[in-house]
Amino acid sequence: MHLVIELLTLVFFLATVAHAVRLRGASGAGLFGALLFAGFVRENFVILREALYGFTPLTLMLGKAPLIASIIWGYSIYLAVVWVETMTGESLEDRRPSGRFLALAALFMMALAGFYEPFLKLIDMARWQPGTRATLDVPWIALIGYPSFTVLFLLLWCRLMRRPPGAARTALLLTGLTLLALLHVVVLQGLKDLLRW
Amino acid sequence: MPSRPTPWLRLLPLLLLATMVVVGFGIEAVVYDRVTWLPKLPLIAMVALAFARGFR
Repeated sequence: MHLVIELLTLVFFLATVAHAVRLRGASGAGLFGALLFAGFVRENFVILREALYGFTPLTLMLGKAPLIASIIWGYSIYLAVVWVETMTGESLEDRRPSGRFLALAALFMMALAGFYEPFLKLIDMARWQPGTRATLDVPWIALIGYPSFTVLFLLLWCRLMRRPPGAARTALLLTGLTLLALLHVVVLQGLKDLLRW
Repeated sequence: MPSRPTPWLRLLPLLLLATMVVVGFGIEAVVYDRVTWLPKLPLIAMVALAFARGFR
């Protein structure tokens, strides 16, 4: 069953990549490259640091973390972008997301946590640290983690995409995304411990 | 000038998500004999709103 879900998620991810490239061109490809990189760094750091949650052994891996964990961030954040663009008429391509855009993206990610988390627990695919507080199998800390990573990613992406293209921008982007991914795990784990969530 | 994408194309990722939710319900019901509705409701409502707006 786990392999079926891994493959289905991979197919859905690839379909959204194709969608982004078809409608946004190089900008869409770049967005997904950045999302995949951020997801890869974040999820591998979660495993190496033994923070927040762990995974059942899965078939498809990317580094030390399951492939599905790395790609689900890109898939989810792109869904949030498409949803907010549909609801507001605002476009991420303008590179200046409004407060409303970011707030709605955050709200969408919280709703997405309500779908993913109970399902992942039921099928025993991901396991949060023992004692993690949850309601209806949605960990409270996930309701902070999903939206905060999304909003910070979008802010960083848009800020850097307003700069002229080139090696300097790419280097800044990779550095920024790495810091964002690592710090997000560290701060989220710290907050979880502090609040005893 | 490039043609404006159809609503179906624009909303394709959300259609995929809707499919994923349906598949999730199916797996829960058939394999685990347990369906969880409540935590999914906000997402279902939000996607339905987007469809209503996007296909209008």
